[in-house]
Amino acid sequence: MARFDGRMWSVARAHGLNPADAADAVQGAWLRMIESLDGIRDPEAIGAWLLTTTRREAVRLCRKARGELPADVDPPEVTEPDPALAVVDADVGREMWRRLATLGEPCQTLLRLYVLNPDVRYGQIAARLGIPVGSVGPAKARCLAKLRVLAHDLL
Amino acid sequence: MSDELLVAAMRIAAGVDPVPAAVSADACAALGLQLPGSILAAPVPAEPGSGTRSLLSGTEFHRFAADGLTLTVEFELDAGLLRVSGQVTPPPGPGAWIEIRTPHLGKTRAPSDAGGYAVTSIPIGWLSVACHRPPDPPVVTRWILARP
Repeated sequence: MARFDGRMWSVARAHGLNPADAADAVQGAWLRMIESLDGIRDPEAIGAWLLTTTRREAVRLCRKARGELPADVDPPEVTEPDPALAVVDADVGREMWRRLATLGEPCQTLLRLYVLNPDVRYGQIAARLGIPVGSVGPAKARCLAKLRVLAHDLL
Repeated sequence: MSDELLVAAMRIAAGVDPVPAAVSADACAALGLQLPGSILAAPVPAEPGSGTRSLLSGTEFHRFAADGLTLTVEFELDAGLLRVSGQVTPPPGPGAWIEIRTPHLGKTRAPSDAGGYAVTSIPIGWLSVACHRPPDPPVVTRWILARP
């Protein structure tokens, strides 16, 4: 279980969930696994199945919080793990930190603040970078896009 | 590749925001909640007008069906806790009992002759309802997140 918990938690939190919501997403994934045990065809893939389910629960909670989803809509059952989740791995993360160091400013500072402080507010990032709060979201999106390009060969 | 997954990997590598012990403990508790031999009831669309659709507005309504049984589950917020009620159709008969299951507690009730049940003081969070009807296998709903 310890092999999976940390990755599940990080996936939930990276979707912008606060700790309480992330806890619900992780617990929901474990409960879905209990009710789906008979349908999981490959026990070796259970970690990937849990991550995929955590991600779906996290996305569902985000959409529900934004009022985009009725409360009583159940998520579709996970039949196949999402291979994209293989990047949620400490080795990949270390490699990404190395590649982040090749990015210029303000992306390096912005992404370090964002990644290392999951609950950081845009106002704090704006103050640190000396930019308007309204610029933080677009700048973060641009910097993440650059990081994504640097990660193109990791999966 | 999504931004969220890259960020998750980098946080794991940096050792920031580790999973809280309580979350791991809840995961352990979840593993004990399997109901061997039970039949999983899938959600079915609720009938129009059968209830409000979000706990934000006070109540939330779900309907499940399996093995010839229909279970309705309705939540109502009451002083920070939940009142859970519903109906089993057709009524399961004598000897049956309804179990409201959460990761931290379970409460049982005998259904009324008409198949109704109600339980109070259920904590907000994940829950599932099981209809035990020996000698047939229990029918259990999918887990539902009941919270505003």
